[in-house]
Amino acid sequence: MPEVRLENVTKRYGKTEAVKNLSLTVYDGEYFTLLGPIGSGKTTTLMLLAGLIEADEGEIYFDDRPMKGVPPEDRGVGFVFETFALFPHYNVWENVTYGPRVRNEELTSTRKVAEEMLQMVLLEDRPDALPDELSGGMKQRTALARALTSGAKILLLDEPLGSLDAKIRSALALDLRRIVKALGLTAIHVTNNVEEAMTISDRVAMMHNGLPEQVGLPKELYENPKSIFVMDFVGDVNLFNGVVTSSGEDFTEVTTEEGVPFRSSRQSIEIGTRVHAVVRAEDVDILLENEKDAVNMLHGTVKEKLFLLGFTKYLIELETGREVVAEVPSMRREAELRVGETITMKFTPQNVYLFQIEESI
Amino acid sequence: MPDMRLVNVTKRFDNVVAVDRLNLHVRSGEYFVFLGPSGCGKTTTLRIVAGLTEPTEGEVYIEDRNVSEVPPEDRNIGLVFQHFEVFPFMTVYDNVAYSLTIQGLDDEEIDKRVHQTLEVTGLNDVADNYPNNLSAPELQRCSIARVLAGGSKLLLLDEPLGSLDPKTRERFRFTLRSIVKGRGLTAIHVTHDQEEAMAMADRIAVFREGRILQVGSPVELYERPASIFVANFVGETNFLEGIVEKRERKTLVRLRGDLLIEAAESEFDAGSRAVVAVRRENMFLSSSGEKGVNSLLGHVIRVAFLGKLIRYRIELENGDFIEVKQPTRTGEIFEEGESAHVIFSPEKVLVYRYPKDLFHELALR
Amino acid sequence: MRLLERVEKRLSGRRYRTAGTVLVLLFLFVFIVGPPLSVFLMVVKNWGDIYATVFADPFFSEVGKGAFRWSMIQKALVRSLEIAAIVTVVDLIIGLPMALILARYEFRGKRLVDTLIDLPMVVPTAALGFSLYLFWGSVDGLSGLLGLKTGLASRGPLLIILTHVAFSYPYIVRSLKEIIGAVDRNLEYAARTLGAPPLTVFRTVTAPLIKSGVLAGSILCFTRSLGETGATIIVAGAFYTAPLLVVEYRQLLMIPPAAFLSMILVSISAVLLASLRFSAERFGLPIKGVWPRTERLLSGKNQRRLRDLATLSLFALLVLLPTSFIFVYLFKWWSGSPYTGNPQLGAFYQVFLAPDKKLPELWSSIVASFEVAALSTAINIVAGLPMAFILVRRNLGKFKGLLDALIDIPLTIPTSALGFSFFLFWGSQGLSLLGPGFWMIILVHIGFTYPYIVRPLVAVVEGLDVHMEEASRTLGASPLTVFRTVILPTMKQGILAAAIMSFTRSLGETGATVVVMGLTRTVPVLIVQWVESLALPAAAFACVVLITISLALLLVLRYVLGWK
Repeated sequence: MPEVRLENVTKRYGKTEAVKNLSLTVYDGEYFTLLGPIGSGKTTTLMLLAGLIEADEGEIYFDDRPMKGVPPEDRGVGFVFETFALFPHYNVWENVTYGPRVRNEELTSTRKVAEEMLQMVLLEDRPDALPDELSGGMKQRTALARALTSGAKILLLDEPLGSLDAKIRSALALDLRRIVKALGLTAIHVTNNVEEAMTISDRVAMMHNGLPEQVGLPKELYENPKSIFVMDFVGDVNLFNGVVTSSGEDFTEVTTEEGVPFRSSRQSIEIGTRVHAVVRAEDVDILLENEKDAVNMLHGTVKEKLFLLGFTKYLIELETGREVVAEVPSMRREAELRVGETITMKFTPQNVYLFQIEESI
Repeated sequence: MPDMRLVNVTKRFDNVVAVDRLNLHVRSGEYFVFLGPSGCGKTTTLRIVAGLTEPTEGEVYIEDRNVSEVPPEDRNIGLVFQHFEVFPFMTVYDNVAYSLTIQGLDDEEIDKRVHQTLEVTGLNDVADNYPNNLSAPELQRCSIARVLAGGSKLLLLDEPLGSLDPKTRERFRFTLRSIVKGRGLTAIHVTHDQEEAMAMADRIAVFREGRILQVGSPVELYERPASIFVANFVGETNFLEGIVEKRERKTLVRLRGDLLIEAAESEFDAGSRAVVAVRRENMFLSSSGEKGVNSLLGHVIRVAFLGKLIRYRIELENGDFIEVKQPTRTGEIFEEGESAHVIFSPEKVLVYRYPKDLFHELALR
Repeated sequence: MRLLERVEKRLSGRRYRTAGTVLVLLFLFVFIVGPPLSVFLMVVKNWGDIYATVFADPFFSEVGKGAFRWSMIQKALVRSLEIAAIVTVVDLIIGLPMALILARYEFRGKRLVDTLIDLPMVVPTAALGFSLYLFWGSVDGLSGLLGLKTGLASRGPLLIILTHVAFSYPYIVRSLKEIIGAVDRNLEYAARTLGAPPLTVFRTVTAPLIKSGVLAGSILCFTRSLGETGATIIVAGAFYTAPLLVVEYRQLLMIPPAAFLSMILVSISAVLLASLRFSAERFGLPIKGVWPRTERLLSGKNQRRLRDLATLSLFALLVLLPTSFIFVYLFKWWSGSPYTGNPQLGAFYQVFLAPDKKLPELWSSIVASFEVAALSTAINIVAGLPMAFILVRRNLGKFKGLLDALIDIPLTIPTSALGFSFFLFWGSQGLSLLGPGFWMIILVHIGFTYPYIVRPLVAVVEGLDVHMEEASRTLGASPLTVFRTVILPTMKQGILAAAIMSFTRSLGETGATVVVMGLTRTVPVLIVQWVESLALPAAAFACVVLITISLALLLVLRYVLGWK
């Protein structure tokens, strides 16, 4: 149940830095997820942790033990690959018991552990099957059992659910967490699927260009995103550009390029600063009756309407020509508007997020 | 706007029946979706419509013309692939002009049509670029433009959004549908992503193991799924086992642990073993509420915060597990370990006969 | 629709397709497979003569008075088989570690090493033999450096083995590299994280997955050694192997024994080819015994470095240096003898200044070589491209294996036997259409380079994106239009690469050409002649010219393919 720590780790391939100055701490027994688009260095990070590649700079510690120079076979990590990497010439049982066999461990205890693991992943009835006789879900569970049977205390998972059908994916996700928690392992899971990360993790690190842009509980990432990148990753956002026109202790007012006044109660920014003002699609309220307020209000026509499960998504064209996305829970009356209707939209100061412009999405 | 009909179409590969006696009518101007898990025959069926695969039995009609023996180049269709299949050795312009060049139109006419199409698909700026300089969304638009320029009215799409990242994919759904509707095309779109299907289709055909289980609008599939498989595959559903009881004219189901709930009217006899299904969005959590009909007590095992909605995994008092999806901004918010009442109304409870192999129906292997 | 597209549409029809397929198959049978297989017919037809000369006619030979030619033939066959076996084992031992290095490591200079490994393939076989003889067998080579008075290995079996080892090395390394590369790296990573040190990973995961490939590579290596003629002619001296015996009989115009021996060689090749296809899966490796401690010790970083160093050194000593030695020799002997200083013994004099200067001969043989290579390559591209499509795209069922094997026949038959079968087929013993000379050389080269074109083309066709062609169909293009507008542009590079490979091979071909040549001389044949007449520096010059041309072509090939 070790704690895993990366300190200023850098890995270069030729001139590109796949991982640059990365520092992260994963607590003992935590289910930690690296979430980010493809190519943000997540897989490289896992390979560094496993010892399959060596870092150019920086240190990796398992429970304060430095891992530099320690080969993969001595690190006690279990690795689950996106493509499962089951040995095609071995059957399920031989795959699962590979680890202990290769270390010449005692046969009886190996058998016990392996059977237990297979039971945990619901595969106890097919020990003789060859990998190409198994479905995707079964292959993944075999790969998991194999990693667990080797006695690893740290579990590294590289997009383990990526190649599976949606339904099986969500079923397996919860199973994964349950097993990891039951065995008290430390798990580091890599994915680009937001829902998966939010469902399965204790903490999430949002990766951007090889670095964790923000690390925290799923709820924190949603309620207090540190950058537009993080904000945009979960759900749809509406981005406006503007300049700060006035500010006080707990508010900032902005006038957007389109001339609309916004007010945010989230922070205080200097007058004259250029900012992005961002409002989430689900925070855009559609008014059924007209209100007098001019701040945080937009007018437009419904251009498109899409039905999602539990939500209705509107694409609204403002008078200025730009488009705004709004999402409304299906049970509300605002979900029954028609294409072509003119509507008024409003949002609260708490839901206006401001970011100073020097960032790029 | 062509319509398309499949009459008793079957396709066998050696001993495997990929498509089994399909009968289907796609109406003129419809945005029609073939939906199903991998290996269910939806892509094979699309290829049969395109003429790229020959059916073992049956006929294909496009606009009342029997095209079963007609090669793909003469069927006047357009096909958009998941991996774009844009010709890498030609510029965007030449790609889009391809079918017009084959048709032998003169250069002026070709230029006119190509520019028109580039305009509609927003590719004017990159007309002289080669594919290796384009982003994935641009490549997708190029492959669509290439098909539109040719002038065919029946558009076939094989997982067209599959190679795009999740954000782009969602935005593209709008774009794709409006192009089809704007130009008065008939579209047949194949996907395994039920969210995509529900968002884009006029009607959906749910495929499984070579057969069509149900054809209907998204609303119909959502509110009246014809089988457990469809109820599970389309949208998210909770399933609970029980025995049917009848009292007055109400249909009641007694679940495990002697819990009684009321379901929508059904034709099942009292005593039959059944499975009830409720959409996860149609269940609500409340801290108040008495134990009674359609109010079950449970405790929260896992809370997953998904931004605009929260997903709760609940263990009911009888040991069954369900999940509830609630918008974050409505209702109370619960923490792990807390108790909650799960409330739902009878019309939202669907009843199905207990199948021979429940795992198979739920496609959980 | 324009005229071109309309014609293509018409020609895409089923009838034309069938006609085309028949033509392609006909080409295969008449020009490629027919001659080698016809040897059997010839033998049956002339059995009487054969029996007389091979089994019944006693003659004086080193075997003793009253022996029959049959015992000579037997002896030659046994020698060839023994040599092939030794060569295969040696090449496996030194080649497998090199393949591992190339497949799995990244290091500076890797590109260079990769290119250098191909060197023996680029060098025409006659030049290769000559260079190796100079390195191992003459005072100018390694033995001179060591201060010895005579060569380390004189002409004979040892030198033949050394030559074959160098000659087969690139083939084995390339095929092993591909096989190892095909193993999913994640499997090896998974095994490491499960606790297996690198050697254990190799034994329990990599090796079982490559065993069929290794077997195939070994059989190919064996076959190549068995059939090598061109270099062997130069380094064998008085020792004879089976292919050399064919050459000798042909030169002495002893047709029946030549035919008989050729038939035997063709049969052996056919058996080897068949075994290639059927044997792969059956042999296993010890996986049961686990020796973690030993393997862990041997897996250490320093041990690995030592292994790598040994691998590279063996490569340099046995392959790289001997193959490139010809350049050193030419340099030494350019202006005269390095021992006496006599300019008349120098290459420059022999080629450019002597009264019987070699330059005109060299020039006309270069022209001849180029003409032969160009023509045979061009014809084979036209005939081979449709064949590649038939192999990949048509559903042939059981026939596919047969067709595959037939196409490989020219690869497996010893070149002298191949040449001889063409000599029989087209010449006065068979169809009587041609005599030995320029056109027969072309026909032989067509037969011999056919697989060198079809195989890479098959790989290119397999790599084609079928969906792109389907997209093209749905956009209104008939199959032939698809071929012209989509497939050909995509295949351009691959076709060029195959053409260059075939051209280079043809340039270097010796064994078969020697058998069918009339008055025309190609460069390799010229080299053989000059070596036999002891005009060594001139021969060296010709070698260097030929090697330089081939190297240049190889570099063009690399450039065309980009870097893989």
